[in-house]
Amino acid sequence: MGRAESVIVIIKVAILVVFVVAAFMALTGKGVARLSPTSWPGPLAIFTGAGVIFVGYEGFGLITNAAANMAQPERELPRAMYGSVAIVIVIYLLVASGVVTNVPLGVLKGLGDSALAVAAKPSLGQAGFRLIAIAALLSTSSAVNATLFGSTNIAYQIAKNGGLPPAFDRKLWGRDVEGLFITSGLGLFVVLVYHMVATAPSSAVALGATLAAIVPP
Amino acid sequence: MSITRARPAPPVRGQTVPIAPREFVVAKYPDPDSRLPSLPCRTDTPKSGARLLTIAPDRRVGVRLTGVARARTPSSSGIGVQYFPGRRCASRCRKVRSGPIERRSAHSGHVEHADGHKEEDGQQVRRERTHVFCEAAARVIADGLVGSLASATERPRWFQKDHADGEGTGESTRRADIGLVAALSIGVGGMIGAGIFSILGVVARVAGSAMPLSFAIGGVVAGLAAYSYAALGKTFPSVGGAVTFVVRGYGEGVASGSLNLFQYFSYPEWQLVSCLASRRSTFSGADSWVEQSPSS
Repeated sequence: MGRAESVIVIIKVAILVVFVVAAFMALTGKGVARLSPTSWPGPLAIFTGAGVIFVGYEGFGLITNAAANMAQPERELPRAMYGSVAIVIVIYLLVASGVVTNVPLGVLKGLGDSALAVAAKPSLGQAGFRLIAIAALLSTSSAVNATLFGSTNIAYQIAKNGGLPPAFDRKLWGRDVEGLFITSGLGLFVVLVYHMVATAPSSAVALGATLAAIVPP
Repeated sequence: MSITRARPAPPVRGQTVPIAPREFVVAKYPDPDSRLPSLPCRTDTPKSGARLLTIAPDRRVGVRLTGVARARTPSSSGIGVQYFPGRRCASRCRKVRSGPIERRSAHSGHVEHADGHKEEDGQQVRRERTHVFCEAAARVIADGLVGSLASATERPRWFQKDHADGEGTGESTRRADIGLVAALSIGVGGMIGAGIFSILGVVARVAGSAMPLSFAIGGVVAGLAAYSYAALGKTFPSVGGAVTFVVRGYGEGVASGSLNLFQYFSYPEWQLVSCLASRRSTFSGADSWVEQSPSS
C-alpha cells in the first residue's frame, strides 16, 4: 500500500500547494488587511476554532500502526510522526491564510463545507474549483486508505487479544487481509445506510477503487 | 525531540533484574497450538509458528545474575543467569547462561530441540517446551544485559533485529516494508483527509479572520499529542498502535477491551461519513457566491 498512498498524497499536497501559490499571487492589499489582528475575534473564539480544527490534525496516530512494519521503529517512527505533523501544520497555515485573504469574511462564514473550493475561484477560476474537488476526492481515498490500514491493524491486534472474533486475524493470500475486508464491508455498510440517497453509488465506487489500491495482487 | 533513556547500569553479580512486561518472540515451534498453562506469562500462537511470550505486568518474573564475565566486546561477554519464573512454576527454575555460544541455541537450536522430541511422550514434550520458553525468555534478557555489560550504548545488533522482527507483531516473517516516506504519507494522508475540506468553513465561522492562528494552536496541540504517540510507539512498536498502548497501560480487561473496540469502530466509519458529507457539498451548489462578487 505504501507506494499508492505516497503517490496520492503527493498529488493532493501538490494541488494544495498550487492553491496556496495562486492565492498568494492573487493577493491584494484588501486581502492582506483581512489578516490584521484588529479584526480578530476574542481568545475564546480563537481557541474554539483551534479545538475544531484539531479534528483536521487527527490521523497522525495511524503511523503507530505501521511501527511493526518498520525496519527501525525507534528511529523512523518519531521522525515520521514529527515530520508529518510539521508538514501538515505548514500546509494548513498556508491554506488558511490563502482562504482568509481571498474570500471576504462575511462570505466565508456563509460557505460552510465548500469554503476551500470557493476560495480557489478568485485566483484559479473554474479550474481551481475543479482542482480542489479532485483534491477532495484524492484526500478521501488516501485518508480512507490510511484509516483502513490503521483500523485493520487495530482489529488484528484486538482479535489477537481476544476481543474480536478470530476471523479478524485470519490470513488470506498469505497476509492478514481478511480483517481488511470485514472492516471495509462494515464501513461501506454504515456509509450506505447513512447516505442512502445520492452519494451511495459513488461512495461504493470510491471504496472499491481504494481497496484495489491497497490489496496486493 | 526524543526521549533520552538512561543508559542501563552494568549488571553485577547477585543482582536481580525484573523482566519488564513486554513481548518476546522466543522460538519457532512446529506445533503452535499447544498451550502452556503453567507459565507465569501469557503465550500466544501467531500464525507463522513463532511463539509470542507476553510477560504480564503483575507477575513477579525476573532473572538473577549468578555470574558475570566481563570482556571487551559484547559478543565475547557472558552472563550467567538464574531464571525464576514466579511462584507458580518455581520448581522449574533453571540456570542458563548467555553468551556467544549459547546464543545460537537460544534462537535456532531449540527449534531442532523441540523437533527432536516430537515423537516422544506428550507430557515430556510439554515440559521440555516449558523449559525452552523459560530459558529463551531469560536468554533474551541476559542477551540484552550483555550489551550493557560492555557499556555499549546500544544493544547488540542481532538483539535489536530479533525484536524488530517479531515484537508486537507476533510474526517473525512480517515484512519491514514501510520506510520513512511511506510512513510520512500515512501520516500526511491520514491528517489531510476530509478535515481540511469540511471543517475549514466551520473554523472560519468560529474564528473568523484569526483562522490561521487557530490552525497554528491546533497544530501545536497535535504536535504534543504526536510526541506522546511517538514515545509510546517507540517503546511498544506493534501493529496495534493505540490499542497496544491501552492494553499496556491498563492491562487486558473489560475496560481496555471496550475502549479498544470503541477505537476500532470509531476509526473508519467516522472518516468515511465525514468524507462523504464534505464531498457532497463540495460538488453541489457552491458556485453562487462567485457570480455575485467575481473579484475579491
